[in-house]
Amino acid sequence: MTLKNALFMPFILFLCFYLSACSQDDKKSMAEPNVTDTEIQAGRMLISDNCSGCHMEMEDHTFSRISQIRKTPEGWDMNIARMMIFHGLEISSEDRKALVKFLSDTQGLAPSETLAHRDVLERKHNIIEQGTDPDLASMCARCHTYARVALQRRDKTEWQNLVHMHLGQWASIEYQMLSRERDWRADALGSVAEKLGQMYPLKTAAWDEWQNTEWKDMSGEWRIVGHEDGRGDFNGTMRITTTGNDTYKVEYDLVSPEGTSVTGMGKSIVHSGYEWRGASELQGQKYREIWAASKDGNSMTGRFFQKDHSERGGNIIAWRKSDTKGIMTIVPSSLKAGVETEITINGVDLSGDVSIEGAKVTVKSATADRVTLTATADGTPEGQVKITVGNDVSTLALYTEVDYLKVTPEYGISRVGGGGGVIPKVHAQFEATGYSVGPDGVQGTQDDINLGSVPVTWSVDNYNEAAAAMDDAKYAGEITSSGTFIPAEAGPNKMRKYSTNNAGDLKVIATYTDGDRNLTAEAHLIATVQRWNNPPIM
Amino acid sequence: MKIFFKLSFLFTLAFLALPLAEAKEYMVVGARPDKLFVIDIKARKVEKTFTIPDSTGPQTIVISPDGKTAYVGTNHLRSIVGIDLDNGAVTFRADLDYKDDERTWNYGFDISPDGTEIYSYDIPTKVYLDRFESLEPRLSVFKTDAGLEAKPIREFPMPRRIHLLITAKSGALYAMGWDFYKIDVNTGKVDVAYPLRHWTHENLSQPDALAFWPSWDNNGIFSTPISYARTDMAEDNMERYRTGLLSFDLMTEKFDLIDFQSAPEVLFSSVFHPDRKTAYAAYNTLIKIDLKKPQTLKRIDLDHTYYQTDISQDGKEVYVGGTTCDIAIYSTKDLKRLGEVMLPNCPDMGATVIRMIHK
Repeated sequence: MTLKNALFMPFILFLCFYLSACSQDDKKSMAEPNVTDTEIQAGRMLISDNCSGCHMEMEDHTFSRISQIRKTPEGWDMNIARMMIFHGLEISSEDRKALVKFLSDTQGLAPSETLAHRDVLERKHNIIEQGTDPDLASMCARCHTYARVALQRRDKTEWQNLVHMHLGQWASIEYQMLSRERDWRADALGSVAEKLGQMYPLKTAAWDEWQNTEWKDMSGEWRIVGHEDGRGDFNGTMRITTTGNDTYKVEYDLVSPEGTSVTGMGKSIVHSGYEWRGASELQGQKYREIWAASKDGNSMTGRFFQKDHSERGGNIIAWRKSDTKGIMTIVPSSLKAGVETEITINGVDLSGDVSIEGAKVTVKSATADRVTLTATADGTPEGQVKITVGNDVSTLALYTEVDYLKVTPEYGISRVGGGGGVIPKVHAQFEATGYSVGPDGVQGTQDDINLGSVPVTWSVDNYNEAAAAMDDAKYAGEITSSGTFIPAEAGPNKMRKYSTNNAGDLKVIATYTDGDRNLTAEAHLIATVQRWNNPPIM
Repeated sequence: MKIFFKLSFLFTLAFLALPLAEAKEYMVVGARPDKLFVIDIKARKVEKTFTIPDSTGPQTIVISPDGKTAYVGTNHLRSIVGIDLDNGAVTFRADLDYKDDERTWNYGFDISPDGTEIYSYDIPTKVYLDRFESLEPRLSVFKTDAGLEAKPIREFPMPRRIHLLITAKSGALYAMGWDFYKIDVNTGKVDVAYPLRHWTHENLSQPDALAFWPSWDNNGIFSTPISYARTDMAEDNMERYRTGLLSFDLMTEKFDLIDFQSAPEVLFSSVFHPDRKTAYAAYNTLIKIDLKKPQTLKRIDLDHTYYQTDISQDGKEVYVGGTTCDIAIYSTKDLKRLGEVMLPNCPDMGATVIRMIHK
């Protein structure tokens, strides 16, 4: 071999290896069409490196306990956290993230399997879970949300293993209220494990189908609209750029509820082909995003919240500009007769004449993303009317006056915090929505018209006699002019009876003033104590 | 002859009173993470402070019959540690995870009247590399002279969900759980001594009582508040929801249940007056209960929550403790505040129990 050949040979070998690796990368796994063989090999290696000290690797490359479960990204991450806290697992941050990604992609949940429990997954505050089987509620959801159960998939034996884990991990589990009056262990290992195995089995058609659906790249130009609780509606665009392996860089260009320009940057990762998890910073405020992409990958919905106050945030809708068209939101969503009102229509690819049924419209500016106009209605008709931009149609509520209010949430929760402790305060945000009684003139019927948020003044009072006796309204906290209840500090308060903490049972009162008319509505607020552990899935 | 009998009676009284007159009364309490305090309660003064090695939070405390040793349940319900109350020396230790690959919670223990054996109610879990297996509970019997690596000399299977063990004066072991059980500590035979979950009181719901508190040191009787409902009353009638006192006499081994009020307040623990005519119960309030009527005689608001109630041997003072770092002292007569004892450095008593000893 000549020197030239000797030098050239390694290059050839490298080229062959590189092409071979590329070929491997491109090859989709037969079992996991959206995951490449290379990714599967790397994922198994990750599990082997970090988990196989306890979780035995089988001949078929499955791992004991791990391979018999499916979970959300948060569920897998909580699993790893538990292994670290209780079982001494030492794992690098990179490996932890990579494991969550691999397990969510290969043993995740299909969109339809998370749909009923997204409120909890999105860390929405004030959620009262509905429709839960009463027996499962007392067996499981007395300590954590039912969603934490329903966002897992296991067969009966694995549900039984989970029961054994609970009995071995938490000494008081059989002694707690709703548990001690029954043979919790026998019920949990018996009928409950049986029921959960039937309701939430490992293998489902939904997951099979989702695995065989092409998971879309999220890169592109997107239109985003949303509502920040207690603040108002915003809109804008986001440019999503891939950074590889289902991770993205995001550039935001938004118009705040106050009408100011807001720009910011973010990054995200998409798990299981649709679970967008983002981190962004806008005007110095750090946010987290838990969104879900649609099956076609052209829209996303979900919630964003402040990094340090997950109870503070709002909802978004995002559309991929290259593949969608239409009206997304109209702000405000109602028009009062006789009052000239500025209205913004947000959407994608908007063009053409603008009209509102029953109103005189003057367009002030128009782009493909946004139309701004002033409108004046004469009062007829009342109710939901058509609003059109070219061929795109939506609805707007016309009304003569606000007939009544509702405060949401109807039942709110805040939590004391600070006071020298490590747990921060948890705020409660309230909003007031105006309603028209509709054509039938009767409140609470189907033709009532939601007029959207209305400006109100806020106050709190004792909820009942017991609260008044404890002077709850004096001690529990204060509500701001934007409806944010800020609880008082944690810890015993010697000024109070029993030196009790600053908990309280309150009513939150919204007052809407229109000339001489005052309308009020109330919500119930439990200003309570801290949660001492705050996992991603409560 | 009459004079002889009178003298004899007086002599007997004096003989009985002699040990009591010589014995001084102390209160023993624990606090997180590792403290055991001996309090001269009448002097309102902490006399001794001991540190329990390898401890996370004392909970159950059992005193040896000679008053010399406190056996403390600690280390997250996983250890029983014997502490010499004179000098704080560790004289006994049973770490309940003594079997390979087991994790064991202790949910109550007591000592034999002769002080030679400790009975421990243990809930084991088998720990495999990648899974747990919950096992059946057991009664473990330890010798008190077994030293610092005590292992049980006998083990017997037990019903689940027991939360309190009481040794009667006769040596019979009783356990409170779904029902009140009588346990033969030599054979492991378990009989229902007083049904709770399975009681057949007409028009009364299944009762609820989660009693951890030993309050029998100065009266010879265990008692606990117990809650149930009158099923023959309407659900919106607040009189439907009842509070009773369940008691067990450690000498006669007889149970009794009295119904004394509806359910206007949470009550965690209770203690009988040594004369057995009144009782006291506490949580956010302290109440005095007439056991004969029966009815609540008086109620006061406490300055904060207290978990356990106890009483002085002379029956003059009722004590409330647990929760934070003070023992509050009230008159048994009219519930007037008489004083308090602050634990040094204000440690968290949490759910540790109060024991009264005389030495």
